[in-house]
Amino acid sequence: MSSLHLRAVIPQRGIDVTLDVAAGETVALTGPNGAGKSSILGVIAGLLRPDEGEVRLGDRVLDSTPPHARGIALLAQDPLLFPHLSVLANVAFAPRARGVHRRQANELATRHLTEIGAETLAGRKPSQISGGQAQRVAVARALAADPELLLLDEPMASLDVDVRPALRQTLREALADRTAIIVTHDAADARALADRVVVIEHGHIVEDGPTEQVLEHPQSGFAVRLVSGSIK
Amino acid sequence: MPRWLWFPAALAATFVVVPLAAIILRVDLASFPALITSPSALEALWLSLRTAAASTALCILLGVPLATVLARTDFPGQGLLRSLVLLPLVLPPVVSGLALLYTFGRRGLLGQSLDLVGIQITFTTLAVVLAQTFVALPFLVISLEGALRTSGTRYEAVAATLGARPTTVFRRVTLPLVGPGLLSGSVLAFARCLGEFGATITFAGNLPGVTSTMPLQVYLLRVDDPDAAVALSLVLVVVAVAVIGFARHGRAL
Amino acid sequence: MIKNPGISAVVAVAAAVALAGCGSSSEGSEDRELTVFAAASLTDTFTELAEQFEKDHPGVKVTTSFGGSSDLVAQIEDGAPADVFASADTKNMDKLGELATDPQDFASNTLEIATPPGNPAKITAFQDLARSGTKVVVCAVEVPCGNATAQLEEKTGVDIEPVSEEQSVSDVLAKVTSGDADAGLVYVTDVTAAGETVTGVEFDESDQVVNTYPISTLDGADEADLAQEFVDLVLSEAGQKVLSDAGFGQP
Repeated sequence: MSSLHLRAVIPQRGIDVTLDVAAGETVALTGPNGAGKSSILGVIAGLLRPDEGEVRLGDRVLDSTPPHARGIALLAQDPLLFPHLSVLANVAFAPRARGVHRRQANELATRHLTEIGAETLAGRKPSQISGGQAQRVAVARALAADPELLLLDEPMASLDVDVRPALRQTLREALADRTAIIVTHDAADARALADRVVVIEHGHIVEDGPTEQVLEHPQSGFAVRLVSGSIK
Repeated sequence: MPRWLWFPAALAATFVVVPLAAIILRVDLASFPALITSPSALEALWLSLRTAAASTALCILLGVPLATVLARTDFPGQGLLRSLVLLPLVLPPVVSGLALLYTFGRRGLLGQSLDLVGIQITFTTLAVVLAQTFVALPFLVISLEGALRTSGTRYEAVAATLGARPTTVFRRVTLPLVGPGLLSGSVLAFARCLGEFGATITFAGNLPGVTSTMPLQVYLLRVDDPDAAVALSLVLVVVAVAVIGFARHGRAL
Repeated sequence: MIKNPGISAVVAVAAAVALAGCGSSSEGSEDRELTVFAAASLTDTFTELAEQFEKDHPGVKVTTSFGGSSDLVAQIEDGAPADVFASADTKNMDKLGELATDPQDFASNTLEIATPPGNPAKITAFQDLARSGTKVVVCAVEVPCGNATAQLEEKTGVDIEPVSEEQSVSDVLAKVTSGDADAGLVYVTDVTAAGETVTGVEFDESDQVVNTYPISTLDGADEADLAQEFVDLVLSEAGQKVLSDAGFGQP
């Protein structure tokens, strides 16, 4: 578990952001569509190269580190489970990739699946489980990578409203003492999962404070609308 | 769909089916078994299958990296490279054969040096494999590149953030995801190899058991022994149908 | 597969209409047209003779079609509109039977060795072709030049192990001119026609197998008179001169 320091400037997308996340802290990143939230996650994960900036995780400077060596897992809006692998093999993917033996990797994966209550799905293919189940398996897969930092890009957005609470509960346990950034448009997610809320508009941070404070006394236009429930 | 389309569609289907039927009707059933099991026919068939399999393997070995580079990177001159690689698709095979002759022939660009160390490629089975690979490679590259572009890079990005090195991602995510595309590309390449004629006759020559594949036999026999030519043609048609059927079945899996 | 005869009828009609459309462009003039089918080895000589014939017969256009003799026979049997046929061997002329009204021999041809310019493998005699390590290309036994080669091998007892049995004379020459083969066996006239691109090596045994070229007007020719006049030209002194200049022997 490590702290994050980020500075990212991408003039083409109007992004200029400096953000610090303490070790073990979960930050909810929110803002209108196109504000640059996904781009920021991309820069942190190493999938997107900023024109100017710095990514530091603990005392490691990651600017020239390829994505696979950063220790940062990214959970997207779609679960993106590998369709050709079973649920178990999906969760065992990260341990296998870092060289763990197949049997031990499978044991580890089974443990992660059990934690989210999905051990019965182990033998199925991703096409044989529901969207909500798939997203929870994706969480287990990301956790099995044992990342120093977990990035979640609107993990609930593609799910039906009635299955969101289950995933929210899964994430609540997963993020309890992890360094994480979750992009969300849902005040309930922020309240349940985040220690701090950061609002981004037009590529700049316009509000930053403890979850309770931002949700009780929103300052930015977007935060006001978020709290009043007029988003989505 | 407007209903009148049925008419030209039926005409098109007829146009393809009737010549096939015509060749089947020409088969002399009484002598057919003897004709296709004659030593020379079996020799040609076995040579065709062996060379087509070797060429397809070579196509996969060379084509997979090429298709990946074309689909996943962006560099100046890439469009030109793609056009050049696909050129054998539209080139008359005889021209492909000449190009190979000027490359690997005894006085060719590379053949000259090979000749000095005592290696001659023309007139060998290797020449047949090279000719087939040359004309079939674009089939594999074009279908695999399409599959790679369709599957996109999202799964690869996820795999990378899960700690997988590029080679691991390629082996465990990229390739399995384009499996069906790779399979149909390979099948197309195999079928093209089986049918190769022009480049082989120009570059490899024609010697039974060494370079004389089925199409060369058919061409040679067509006048003097039309019954044998027709029988061999039918075997080629059946193998081609089986290969295409296999590809469609594989895709449905 | 063709259970419904109506389908084949429709296809036949459609094809006929399409073909008629293609052919119409060349008609329309009142000039007469003579169609000559001749073996590929006669390409140069018969092109020259056709020009001569057109000069002697104003208003007549001679259309020539060159190809393997056996291919041409197949086309004639299938109803191709030829008036005259000149074959590279008697065997193919005989296949036409009654269709060939009056076959007459007009030239002969023997085999010669063709080597890349300068003869790098130092081939000087027919036996040299059987030397191990010599890369020799011949015609496949199914085509006339290959048939002649096989006969010559049998008569002389020289056993050639070719690296390739090519489909035609031009395929043999292509392998020789590119330098990939040390030698090829083709007709004398092919060596003459190839000019500088190959070096010819004559050998004594070649006269043991002589290929005779017959020519004939064809039954049902549209231009029977012109056809006979063309055959006469080929057999005339002037016609024979053109042929002997190209390397052909007397019939």
